[in-house]
Amino acid sequence: MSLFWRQLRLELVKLFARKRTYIGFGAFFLVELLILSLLQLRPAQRAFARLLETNGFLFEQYFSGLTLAFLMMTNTIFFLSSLYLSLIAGDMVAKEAEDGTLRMILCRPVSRWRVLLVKYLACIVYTAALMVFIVATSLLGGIAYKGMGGLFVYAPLQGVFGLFDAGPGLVRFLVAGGLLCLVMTTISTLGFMFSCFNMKPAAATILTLSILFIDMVVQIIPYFESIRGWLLTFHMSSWVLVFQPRIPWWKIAESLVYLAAFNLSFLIIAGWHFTRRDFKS
Amino acid sequence: MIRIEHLSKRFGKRLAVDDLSLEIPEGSLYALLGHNGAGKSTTIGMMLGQVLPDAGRVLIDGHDVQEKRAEALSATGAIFETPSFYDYLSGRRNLEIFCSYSRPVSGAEMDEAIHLVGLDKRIGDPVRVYSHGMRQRLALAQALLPRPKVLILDEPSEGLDPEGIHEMRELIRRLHDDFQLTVLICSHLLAEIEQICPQVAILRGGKLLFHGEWKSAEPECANLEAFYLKTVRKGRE
Repeated sequence: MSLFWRQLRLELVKLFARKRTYIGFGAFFLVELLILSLLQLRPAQRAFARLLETNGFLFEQYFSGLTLAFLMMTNTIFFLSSLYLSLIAGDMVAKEAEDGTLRMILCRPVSRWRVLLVKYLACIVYTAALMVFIVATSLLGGIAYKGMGGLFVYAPLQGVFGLFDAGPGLVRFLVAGGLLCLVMTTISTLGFMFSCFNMKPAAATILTLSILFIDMVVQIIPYFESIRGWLLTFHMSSWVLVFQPRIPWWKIAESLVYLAAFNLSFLIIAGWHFTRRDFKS
Repeated sequence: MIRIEHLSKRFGKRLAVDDLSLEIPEGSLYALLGHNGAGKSTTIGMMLGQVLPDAGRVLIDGHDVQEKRAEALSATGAIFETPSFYDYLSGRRNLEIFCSYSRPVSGAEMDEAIHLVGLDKRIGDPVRVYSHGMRQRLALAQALLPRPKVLILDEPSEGLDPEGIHEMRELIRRLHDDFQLTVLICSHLLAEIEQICPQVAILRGGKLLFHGEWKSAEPECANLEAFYLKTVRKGRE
């Protein structure tokens, strides 16, 4: 077992020693700052105030650090997470196969399943690290700028309209952050699966992004409402349900089970292919 | 030590290796020769479990590479034509990574291998600043770290300057003599092989044309090149 942890530790060393691993962190931070700046513009604040005041709530009370943190987090994730997670996940196996380092590992007395598992876990650790980074920086950024304050969440697609005082708001925010780490593993697992096929790293990334894009478009087209329950992005957005006044835990749990099933299926397909393919120079 | 039984591999319509059977005795210095596309690298790939055979099997130290991979490869070290490394990491870190997939290696053991290939002073540098010769030596160090009984070298002298070729040759000889390793070399450099390996196997179109001691097979051939060309021409007819 200790050899397994050693392999995982060195896999993480490999991953986090590469400069490109940090591009995602840098990009997320910049986008958060951009969103924070955009939210200072008058038109943005007016629209925000209108939404709150037509529902009988005070703009000053809810245009707060927590609300800004939520807006920074959701927008950054929406715009960038799929891109960077699929970029790193798409690289995990395909890049090493392309560079030839995978051949050097596969001539060792280790099963291909073990190699795959070590790489997958490293990919999941990266996903969690990136999500924790986004949650932490948006929270710290929001609080540093506006203080804590109440939390206002409006997510029409998920039917969420939530208002919370500072304490409960912070707890909900952190729970949502934890769920985000879980649901985002599906993007990484999908990218990782394509990475195990005989294709270039860029192709694995593009395929992952294409599937997520199609999945998201199908989700918002009314004709396909009946199949929403089978869509990845539908279940991936379940973390937002934490902001409903009464948290629908069973719905969240159902989505997590669906995502776990998707992840497991992707991983089995990846393993099936990886253990049967030839690695040549 | 290495036993290949009726090994075949097809890529699409092309038959890369065709019913190949070969035995490489323990402690021998053996070469696998052939033109480009003769099936040498595919054979080595199948020996190391990287390429999956369509038929046949490879046994290393009595263990089937496909069925008992861990046992078969635990005593095998290998280097490839263009050894690949994590260029942004140091030589030592690269060795640690590759060794982690074999068995735990002590610092002293690692230092010994590094010293053997003469990389003591540069092992802490990132691999991206290594010359081709240094990369080959690092590749050899990683191949030696499982403490192998079998060493499989695919074009070990490829791209090296004359001094580097000489050093590599001496190193291979030393490893064979000092550690009684079974060494299988795959190379195009016939003059080089002539100086190292008394036994050869010649492949053409995936088929085995000859195996054994080339000097005793055709004593009238002045050198390995003459013997190789004669064998290949005969095979073509």
